[in-house]
Amino acid sequence: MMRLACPRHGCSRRLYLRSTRVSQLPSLQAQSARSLWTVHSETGIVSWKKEPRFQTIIGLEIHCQLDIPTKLFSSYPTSNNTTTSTAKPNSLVHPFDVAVPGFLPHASQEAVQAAILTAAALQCQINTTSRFERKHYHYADLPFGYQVTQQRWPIAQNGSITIMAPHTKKKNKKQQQQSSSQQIEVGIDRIQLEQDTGKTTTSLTRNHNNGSWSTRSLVDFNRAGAALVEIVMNPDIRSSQQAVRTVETMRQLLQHIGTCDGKMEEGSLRVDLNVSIQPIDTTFVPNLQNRVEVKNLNSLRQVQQAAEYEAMRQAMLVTESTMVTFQETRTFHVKSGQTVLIRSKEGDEDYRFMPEPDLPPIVLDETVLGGHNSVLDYLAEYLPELPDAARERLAQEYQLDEYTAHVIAGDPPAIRIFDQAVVTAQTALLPDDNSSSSREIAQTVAKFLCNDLFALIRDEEDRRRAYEGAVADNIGEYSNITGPQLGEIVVLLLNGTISTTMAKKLLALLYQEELGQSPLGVAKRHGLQLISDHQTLERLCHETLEQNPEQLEQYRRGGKHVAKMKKFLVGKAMSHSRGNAHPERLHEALEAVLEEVAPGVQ
Amino acid sequence: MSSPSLCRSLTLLPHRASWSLRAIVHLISTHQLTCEELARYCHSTAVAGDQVWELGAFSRISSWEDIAQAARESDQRRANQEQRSPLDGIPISIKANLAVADHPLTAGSRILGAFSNSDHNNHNVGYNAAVVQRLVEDCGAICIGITNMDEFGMGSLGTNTSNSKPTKNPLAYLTSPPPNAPEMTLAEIVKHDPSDILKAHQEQQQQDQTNNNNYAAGGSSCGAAASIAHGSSLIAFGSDTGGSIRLPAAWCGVVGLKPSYGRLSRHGLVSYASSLDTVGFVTPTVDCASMVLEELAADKSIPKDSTSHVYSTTQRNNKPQETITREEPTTHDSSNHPLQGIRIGIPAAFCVEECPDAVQKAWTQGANDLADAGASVVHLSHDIVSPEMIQQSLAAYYVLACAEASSNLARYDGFRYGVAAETAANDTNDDNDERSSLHRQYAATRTTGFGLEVIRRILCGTAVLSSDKFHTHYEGAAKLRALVTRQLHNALETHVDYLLIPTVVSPPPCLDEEAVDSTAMFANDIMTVPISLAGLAAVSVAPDTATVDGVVGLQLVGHRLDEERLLEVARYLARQAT
Repeated sequence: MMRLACPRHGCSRRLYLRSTRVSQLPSLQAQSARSLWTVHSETGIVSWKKEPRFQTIIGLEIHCQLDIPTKLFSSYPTSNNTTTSTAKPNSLVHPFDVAVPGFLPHASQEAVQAAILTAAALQCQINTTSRFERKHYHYADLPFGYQVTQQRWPIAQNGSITIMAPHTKKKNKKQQQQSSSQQIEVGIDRIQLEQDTGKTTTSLTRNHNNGSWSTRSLVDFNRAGAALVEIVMNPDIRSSQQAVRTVETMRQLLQHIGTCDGKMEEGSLRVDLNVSIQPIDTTFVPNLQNRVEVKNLNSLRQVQQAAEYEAMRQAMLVTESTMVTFQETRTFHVKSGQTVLIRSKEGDEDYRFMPEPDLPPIVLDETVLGGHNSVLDYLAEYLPELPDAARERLAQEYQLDEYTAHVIAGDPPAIRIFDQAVVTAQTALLPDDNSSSSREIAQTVAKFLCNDLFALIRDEEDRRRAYEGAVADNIGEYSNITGPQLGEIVVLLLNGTISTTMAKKLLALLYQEELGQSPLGVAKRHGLQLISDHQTLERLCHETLEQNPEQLEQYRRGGKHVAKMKKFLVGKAMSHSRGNAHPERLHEALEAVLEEVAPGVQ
Repeated sequence: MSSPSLCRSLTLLPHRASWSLRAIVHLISTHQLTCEELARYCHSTAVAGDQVWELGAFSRISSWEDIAQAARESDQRRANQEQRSPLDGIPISIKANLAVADHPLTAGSRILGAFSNSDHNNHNVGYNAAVVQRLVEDCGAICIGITNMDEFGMGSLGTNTSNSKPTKNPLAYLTSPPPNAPEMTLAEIVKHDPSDILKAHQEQQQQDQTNNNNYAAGGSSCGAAASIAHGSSLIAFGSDTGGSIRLPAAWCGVVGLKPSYGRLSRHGLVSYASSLDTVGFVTPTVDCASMVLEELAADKSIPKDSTSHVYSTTQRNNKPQETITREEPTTHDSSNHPLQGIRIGIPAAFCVEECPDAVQKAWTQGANDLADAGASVVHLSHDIVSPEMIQQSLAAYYVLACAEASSNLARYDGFRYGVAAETAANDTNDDNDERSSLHRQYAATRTTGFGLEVIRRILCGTAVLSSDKFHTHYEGAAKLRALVTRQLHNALETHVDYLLIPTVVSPPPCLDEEAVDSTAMFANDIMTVPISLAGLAAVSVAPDTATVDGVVGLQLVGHRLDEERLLEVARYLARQAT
């Protein structure tokens, strides 16, 4: 539950003066009543004094900068490229990017390919012919006076994305049932390829002569012309939390298939939020046909705050001032947590869409598909297993629990490591050792992968980040341990060569010091091997008994102390072996030694 | 090579039948002429035309030092047998909307610094258009100067220039030679001293003072056609969107080739209407055009635009007009009937009311010339090419061209390049002005930077693209374009091999007469526009004996990417003079 922050009066007054007509201002009473409006972040129900009044309806438009080497129509690199992210303003500008006369566009094949992968990952219908169009408006960061985008003939349409319920590690049955009902399907209306704009930075500057203030805007064209896909979703989302999970799922999916780095903080992924409300009590029918668009949200937190603020603002507006909600465009003010009007419908621009005459239609032929005959062939080669499919496979084939399957499935390199490790371990263990089931092997691999290996990678990543400022996209990508290595460690564990503790130590050694070495070799060299030899263990037990005569005496007395003393002595023997004794073999050895020293004790 | 009897009264200007690439190249390669002498002649002719006659052909003439150095380098290469091409050292001119690295790129517009006195606004553009790169850098041609044009290519008279000085038609000065004119060979003419050339121009100017010699050169490649007719260059690159090469070529009595859409790369051409813009050239004769095309076709570099056809011989040979391939020599002497088996279509639909007798006569004469060469002339009825379609294509053209122009010209705001309005955007006392200071600055810059005709077309284009008119106007025009294209392609695919139609509906108008209104001027383009809409290749040829008050041209229209064979046939059209 989020309570609408009650801003300082002056501040809120100004906001309302700008968003509505003065004559239609909500009354002062309404202002004081404002804090009684609440919105539920999970259900999206807007309530007044805890009484449900409206349902939030949300549609998203997500702009993703494609992770490709060049801009959409020129050969220059984009600023979000890792090697160029620190580039000076206006240093990555091809003459075409700033509309120097005579330079003409040439569509990047990588951009088209990335758009196809994105569309396929979102289950879209991919159009083998699509067209570019010009969308006209004048702004300082739009060098041509138009943006090249796709309006009537987009590259893909009619897809969907499944948004899972929030994941918790352990769930009881009831919660699990609930969660599957919370899983939602969000429709994708269309995916379009388009150009990014430049960046405008506006600052207040003071005139030193007369002390007056004026705004000064500077434009950086490094981003101008970068390739974007805009993903337009249907209004299938009902709450701020669902909106956040949708963005997060989308972000992970795009990272998964490698088409967008998903860095919201750097603007690689930007969200436009369309919010409207619908009365729960159908007898109350205000004019609610108009949606409000909140532009350019750069974090999940902003998405949540803007969605909740907007729902409550609209609820209050229609209830307390009997006003219609206008179709308007707003922006989110991070400091106040409020949305601010940019333009209303009356001022809406006519974009004068026109087919782009400088570019032929995008036809998905062999040239564009890098030698592949059909889109299907192309996808078969370049589209990785999608998280949903991978999760299902892992859960079904290996009975991994939902959380573990989710963690591995979200990271393509992790899936690869997992699959390879399981195959290695199964090949080594299954034919001659029926004690380890296929399921046990898979679960052991999963445990080591998700707990121990991921922890090692994260530690290293933290150090790297502190050093370079870079952030890993996919955890598994940076693993120093290969799938077969992990599989071999699991083999050593399950066939009793090493203990769990040893396995963890071995993993760390292989990751940090013994890069690329054979796990068995490293284990031997570092003495990571369980003592299974019966004679050695018997000698070890004899020594333990000698060191603990009192306990042996108690044992000899028999009766109620027998079990307790045996347990104590096993523990002592284990620590005497410095934990290297094979637990079961040690147990057997101790039994034998005790029988020898104190026969017949019951 | 040159026939002395053809020399004009201004004996120091060669007649265009002798002012030809092949003749010049022959003189140079046989050491009768050096590239430097040729370049000096062209440069002094350009300067004299500019200063004495005020032809207005050039907006910028390269410095003699630069030209001389390039010419001497050409001579050196030729001496070492290292010439880059047959065109090495040939003087050419470039229209102001094509990028030449060491000149500003203005497209004849104030907003891009045309006619600006301040050097601050006159930055060199720093790169070469694809055709300039090919001819100047690869082939060794020499750029004499940048030719004048109607602003952004918008105009048919050469009068929409941002300095309000129209380009004059040089034919007005080139009257018939007096009977006692001294006979001179081409080499002798070219070797004249610059001072002689200047003096000759002055004498001509004094002689002609009583005559009205202020005739339109045609537009928008007015300077290109004028420079060829005058003799200040041998090849003039220009652009043709709806007739901008063919019309001035016809009025200046020279040859203009508008290649099919996409044949020559548009890289480096300032866009006017992207789906119609073509880069082409004006030359003194059809043979010159063939030589230039040969050099351009040999360009193997990858086009930097997305609408260029990747041209190859296989593609050409696969074209459907195999019918053109001449039939096996029959019993006729094939040299007398070189066009045996070729069908020339005369579409009746182009016989518009406006056509004066002079045009009709030239048209008939042209058809007869081709028939004499063995071609069969076929009259195409209204069923094949309908007159309504031709009339409507003019409207469709202006809707589409203006729409694309309004879009292509949206970038000129004076912020990144070009000229910004001097007015401070912030000082407005008008409280009702709701525009941001940015938009006020845009408005001020664009109002002062664009000429009236350009503003008119931008407004027209903005209107037809607005959401309430897009479907009726823009889409309607696009449909018409598709229909015109289908009719013309169909005519060329099933009925004939080439179409012969007039280039213009009248001889060049006199510029001193009452200003013609801009809509009426649109009608001038009715002959050229349908060909542009269909993206076909066309060459305009004018009789080389015509005087300025009677000159009209004929255009031969051919299939897409079939320019070479089109020019082969057009040679016989040009013969009409001799």
